[in-house]
Amino acid sequence: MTEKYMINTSPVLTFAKLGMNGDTVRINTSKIRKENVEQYIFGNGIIANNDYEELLPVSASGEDINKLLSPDSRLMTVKGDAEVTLSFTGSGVVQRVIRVARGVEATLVEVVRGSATDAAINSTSYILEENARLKLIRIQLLEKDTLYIDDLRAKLLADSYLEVVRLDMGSKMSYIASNVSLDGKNAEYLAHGDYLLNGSQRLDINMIADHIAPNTKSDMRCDGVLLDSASKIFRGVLDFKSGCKGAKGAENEEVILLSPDVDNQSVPIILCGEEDVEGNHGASVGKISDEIIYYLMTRGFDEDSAIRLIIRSKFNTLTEQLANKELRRVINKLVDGVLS
Amino acid sequence: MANVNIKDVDFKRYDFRFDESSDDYIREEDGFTKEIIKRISEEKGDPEWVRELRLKCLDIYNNMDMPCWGPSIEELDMNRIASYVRHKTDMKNNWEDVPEDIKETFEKLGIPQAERLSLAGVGAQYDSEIVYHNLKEEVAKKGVVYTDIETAIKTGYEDMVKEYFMKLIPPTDHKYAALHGAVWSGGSFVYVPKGVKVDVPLQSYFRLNAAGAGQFEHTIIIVDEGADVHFIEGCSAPKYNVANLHAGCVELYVKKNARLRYSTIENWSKNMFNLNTKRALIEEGGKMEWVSGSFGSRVSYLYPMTILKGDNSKMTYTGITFSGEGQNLDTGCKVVHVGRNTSSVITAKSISKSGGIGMFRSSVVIEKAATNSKCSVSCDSLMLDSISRADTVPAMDIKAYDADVGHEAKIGRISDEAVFYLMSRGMSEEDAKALIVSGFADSVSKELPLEYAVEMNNLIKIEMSGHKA
Amino acid sequence: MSNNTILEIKNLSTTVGEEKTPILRNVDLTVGRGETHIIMGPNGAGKSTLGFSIMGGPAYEIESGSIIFEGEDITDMSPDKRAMKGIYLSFQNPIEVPGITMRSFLRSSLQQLTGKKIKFSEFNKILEEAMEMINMDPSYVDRDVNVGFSGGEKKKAEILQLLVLKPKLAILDETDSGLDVDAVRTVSQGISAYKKKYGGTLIIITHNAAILEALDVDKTHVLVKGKIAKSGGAELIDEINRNGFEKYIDG
Repeated sequence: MTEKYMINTSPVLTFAKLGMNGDTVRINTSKIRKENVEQYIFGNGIIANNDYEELLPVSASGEDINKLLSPDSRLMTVKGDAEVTLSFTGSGVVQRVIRVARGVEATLVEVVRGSATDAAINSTSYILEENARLKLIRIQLLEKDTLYIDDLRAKLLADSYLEVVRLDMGSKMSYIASNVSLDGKNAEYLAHGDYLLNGSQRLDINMIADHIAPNTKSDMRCDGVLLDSASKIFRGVLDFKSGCKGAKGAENEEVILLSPDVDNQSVPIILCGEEDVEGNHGASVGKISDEIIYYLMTRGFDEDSAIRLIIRSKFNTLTEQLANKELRRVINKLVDGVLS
Repeated sequence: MANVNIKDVDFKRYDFRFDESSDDYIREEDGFTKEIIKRISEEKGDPEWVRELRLKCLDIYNNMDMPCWGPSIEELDMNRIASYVRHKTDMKNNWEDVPEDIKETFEKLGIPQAERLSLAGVGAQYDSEIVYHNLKEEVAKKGVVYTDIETAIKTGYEDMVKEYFMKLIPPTDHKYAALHGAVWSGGSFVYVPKGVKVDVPLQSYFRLNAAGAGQFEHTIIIVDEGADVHFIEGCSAPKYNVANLHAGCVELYVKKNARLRYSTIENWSKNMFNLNTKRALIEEGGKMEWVSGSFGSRVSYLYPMTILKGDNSKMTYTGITFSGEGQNLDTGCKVVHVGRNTSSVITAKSISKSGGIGMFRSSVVIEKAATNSKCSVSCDSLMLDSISRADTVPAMDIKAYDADVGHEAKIGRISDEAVFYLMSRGMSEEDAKALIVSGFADSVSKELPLEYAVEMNNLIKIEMSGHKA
Repeated sequence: MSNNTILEIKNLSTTVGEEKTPILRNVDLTVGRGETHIIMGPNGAGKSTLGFSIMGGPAYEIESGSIIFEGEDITDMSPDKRAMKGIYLSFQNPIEVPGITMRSFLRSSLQQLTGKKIKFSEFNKILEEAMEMINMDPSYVDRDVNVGFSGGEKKKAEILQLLVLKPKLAILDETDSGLDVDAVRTVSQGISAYKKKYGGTLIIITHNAAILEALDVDKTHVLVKGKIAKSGGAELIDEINRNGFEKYIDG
């Protein structure tokens, strides 16, 4: 049964005529099968527990997408560093709750790969207990025939810290949603997403940082490069709820456009119901600045290799964070392939 | 820190009224029906094409949905709004001939005085019709036309009105544009011929005195090639316990290398639903400058839009919005870059207090053809307490890959460091805060003509009372 | 042009911006191989513009005149081609390039300029040698290019690049501004090493005589309102330090 689903709808709407408030996606649900997705765990840092039946944080993918999920999720507990690969051999849904217990500090690398023409759905909620610190590196390298739906949710309790580093290079169409709820005081959330899109790839982002408790901090960055006829929409929301005194939030975007056929859309929203906060948004869209290119040219690079160097170095900052050398090599090769 | 109270905008200056129950007034019954539209058309002596357009617009209005994205206007009961109210007097060009209560109204608002001192021409609308219009002789001699739309149609400009009327804002644009097309009355028609520079501003003032009524004025300004003009629009109304509606349309045509500055100071009373539409089309090398101060109304939907059609055309928007108790002001700006080497600069400020809701909403579209275009948006919001809201929803759609687009938004409160810095230089806390708030509004007030800057500072009357906690 | 001439600027006039504001007006300058030229002048005289023009800066439009480097007209050449010819510009405000370390940046830059692949071990030797000459903390080369560097560190890093890339002609734009006394000494050591060890040619744009102490200055030019108001030898530096630019401005 192919049905229409509303997806990545912004919590606050802009002018309807712009067509930027959200999207609809057609999914043949009968093709979605549990056995089409496998999770491989490397290292001892993560343990699979029982089913999780408590209330999950709200999804930024939207209620429609929730209909595709089952009421129960699988609970996993993080004890230390780990690497997980989610491998799709066809359309499927992964549904997890990952808990980082009080005081635990860990880096979790998640690689999403494979192919799913109808939908590869990854719905994962992260629960960070008091003083927990998690660095999540999510690398999406799906085949270019894939429709990817990424529904990341997180709940941050007091003094916890979540850093999400992500790279989106794969799939034909990606819907990246994240809703991070800063529930406990002093909780901190850092997100840095990079994307590199070519051909007719499209990326649809809907990111929310929900400041509920006092002195919470968020910093969302989304940087990327569009080539050929690739397109991207970024919806970002900093939501300062009344009572989140002393909260600070920022959202920033830097988009490099390298072809006359790209389309770049952004709706960076700040909602503010509290006086004692600081919210900032900055965006820069367009070419790489002339000054940087000139500086590199004075050092002997021609214009094309200067542009390549700048883009390569942007992705270097990301790949350098990966301990897995093989993964690093794969990504570098992919980046070079797109840029050549 | 002391408890510092920054007061709401003081609207008392505008809150006086005259009784309209007398036989001097004609008032259409409430609501928007075919019969009412036909009667208005009859009453105004419309040519056939205007009458037909009115009826077509009503049809579109009845078949269109409400906008889904803005603040709620549920409190606005369209069956309790009178579409047309006028005094039984004709338009005059001498204040002495204007009926006493109306003349007194405009004197209290300072309009005749301003005309003597600093304006090239003045139009004054009272409810649905223009009651006074005058253009200085030396400006008229240059070929400048400044009148209302109805008079323009009757005095030889019908073809021109037909060419431009509701062409930039088609009735299908949105529900209230369609409503406007059905019931419009009054407003301004300005034509500045090629190469003519009008050194002092023209001003139209719109006063809605009647309770439970709507004002639907239409403004068309055509600035021909190389010409230059500054147009000021003011508006106010006394406060009533029933809803009033303002749904005007402003269509601005800036031809090759021409310049138009359009300044608005809006002080509608807090029972007003302000659903206004403004749009400008800029030809090659032309320049559009918007200056906008929004202080009044219960709910506002206001986003002046500019289409940079010609190569090298430019737009600047400078706006401030002050949302106080009971207000939900949804304001901002829209720009579409079509021509090459076009540029736009958007600077918006918003202050929210006492439960007021301020929303900055914008859209920037850079079309593929608009190569080498630049746009910068900067939006600052100041929250003065925690029962108010300051939201920012900017949208950008960039299709030209060599565009240069920068965007900055900040939301915050009066910084303790800034207060401390000023206090360390010997200033009291109250003065320091007052200075910071007026400094925040300064980038807008300095764009206004002097007397309006003074008026704006009166509007944001910042009265401090410090009680040490 | 004599065989010994490395750079010849003839009748150069430049403008900036859409309004075509004139900056340089009919500037002539001839620099011999191995010479050291000093450009002095008040703020806004066009000193940096001169440096940028030699290096092909995009912000400036050349309205008339030509720039000849080693007998070849480079007036319309792109900056990377000029770099390959052997010209180097030390920026007054060096640009930050996040994501690439100074080490790998310099190696690929050197490879671009020489057209040869350079082994890591070989390159590291070159780099260490250069760092030693200016007492540079080795940790800097493993940080991203200029990112998070202080003003002084950025200037030092520009001199490090000079010593690694060994160009034929180096233009130093206010390399001494914003440096403390010790840093000026280090930078000045680096510059004289470039000159003595590699026989480099220098055009130094400066306000400050301290940086010149260790160098033999061949010529000094006073640039005022886009024109060379006076040329002379090293003695002109002292004269200007005593009396300032006033008499050239009024003249």
